Amino acid sequence: MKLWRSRRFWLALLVLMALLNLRVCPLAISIGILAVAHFFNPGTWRPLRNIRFWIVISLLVILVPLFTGDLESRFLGMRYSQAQLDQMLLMALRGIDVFLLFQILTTDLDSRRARQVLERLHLSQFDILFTISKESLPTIRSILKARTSQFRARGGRIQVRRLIPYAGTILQDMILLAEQLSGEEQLPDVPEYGQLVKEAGETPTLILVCADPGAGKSPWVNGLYEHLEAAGKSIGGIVSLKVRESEDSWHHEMQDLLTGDRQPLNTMDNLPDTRKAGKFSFYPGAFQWGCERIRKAVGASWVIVDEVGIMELQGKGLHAGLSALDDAARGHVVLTLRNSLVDRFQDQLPDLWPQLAQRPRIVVQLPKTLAALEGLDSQQ
Amino acid sequence: MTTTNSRFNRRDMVYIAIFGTLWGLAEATLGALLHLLHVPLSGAILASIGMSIILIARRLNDRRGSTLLMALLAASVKMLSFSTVKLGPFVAILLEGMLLELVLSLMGTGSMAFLVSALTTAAYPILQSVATKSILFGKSFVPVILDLVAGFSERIGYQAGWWVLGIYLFLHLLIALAAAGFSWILLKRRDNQTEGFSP
Repeated sequence: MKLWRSRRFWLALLVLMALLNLRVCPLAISIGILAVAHFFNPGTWRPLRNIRFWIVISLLVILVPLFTGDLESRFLGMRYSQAQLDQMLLMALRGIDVFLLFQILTTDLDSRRARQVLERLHLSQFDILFTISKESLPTIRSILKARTSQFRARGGRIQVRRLIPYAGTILQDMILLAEQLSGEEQLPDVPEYGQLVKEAGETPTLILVCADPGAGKSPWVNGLYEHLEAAGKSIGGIVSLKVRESEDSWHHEMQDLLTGDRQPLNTMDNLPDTRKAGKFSFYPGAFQWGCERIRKAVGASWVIVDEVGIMELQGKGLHAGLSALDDAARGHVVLTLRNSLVDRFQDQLPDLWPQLAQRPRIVVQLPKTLAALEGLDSQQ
Repeated sequence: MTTTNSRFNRRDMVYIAIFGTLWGLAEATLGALLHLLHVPLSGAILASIGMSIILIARRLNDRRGSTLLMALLAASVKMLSFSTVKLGPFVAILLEGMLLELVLSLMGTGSMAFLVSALTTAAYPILQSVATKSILFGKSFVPVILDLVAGFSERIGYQAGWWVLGIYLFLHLLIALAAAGFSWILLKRRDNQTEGFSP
């Protein structure tokens, strides 16, 4: 649209002319400018309702006449300068009017049009940056949301001591994201399934599959299951499946690898008198079901338990099933666990499951991936 | 410390995009929150958060011109986060980026550059506020405020007006120095962790 055909242009010009003549009749002209602004768009004067706008104006109109100039007048026993008050009222009206002029010039500028202008500028490399930014925005949002939830979940007061690790974790996430997007992230070697089976050989081995939450432990053991099944091995045990109910809610189910049966493990609904971890309530009887299925799998040549968590290390959850494995399993045992629990698990293993502790051990470290960063929500 | 002066490669672009977007998001979300809660010195707080992100990004990927591009991206992210365009924040972010680009291009990314960046960031919101208020209320705004400070000191005694002004300026400086120090500690902490993994 041509500039001189725009209503915005003519109204802004009108307000500018009025402003230049403000001294002639300040109050009437200011009321006129306010009316013009309202006529253009009632949203123009909405920011005037914000208290911050009036702080400086109050400072000018109240304090300046009280503390500067010749204090020749009195109001409620307080001396003030009438000349300064008049000057400050004029300044305040000017401030409001100039603000309204800027509002008329900028209010309701369409952000889509602004984007088009930015794109049309063809700034060197900016369009590439903008594309990367748009693509990475959901991941960055997800990281910030998840890390902030973690920070808040730990409770307590906001202290620098807590802020530094919090910001440090976000920084690491951002660097990881940048390195992965630029293709420079060195991913750890993950053994092929065939290679793992070969390495495990015939000697009953304890295989630990370690990764961050959401990094894909369950998909990885599912892949192992398919590989072993294709190779004709007998496989038992249980895997956890994340079942998404909506964008913000999900639950987990356990699946028996021998039969394919499923059992709901937890829910985000608050179940009374049940075990809780984070925002999940565990169904009564779910772990008992899991332990029974593990007991039935002790004769298999490969037993998978996905996953071993803090409850198992405390003698709860699937602990009894793992103890059955410790007593009777003759084949390879595959356990998945979070990176944060690996050291604790290795320390407690000889006490909790001494037979498994004596087995040869293979640790499969899965790489941190963007999916892991995006999946941070799942651990809350 | 010197800066590499070359065209941006893929890695540079990704770093600029990630940290520019992070800055824009911080401005859009935290800025709106601070504004809503009427937190005092919110301009100084936001400018310091922006500086912190700039210093970290520049230290991780020291390329001349990258800070300016980051600012342009952050300003765009913030501008487009509203349904309508707000030019004020766009210009403010861009100006901060230009000032810090100048500092970091001249001084590199050492501790002295962090200190000068903090001083620049401390001064910038004050100068921006003075410029904005002078446009709104006229060129006599600054003399009027200085008269007020002097008059207040005279009436109350104890140089009270100058103390209030001094505390206001000191708080700006403190926030910016704290943000620069925070960035420095974070980077050192990360360096130490990285060294730990070296063979």
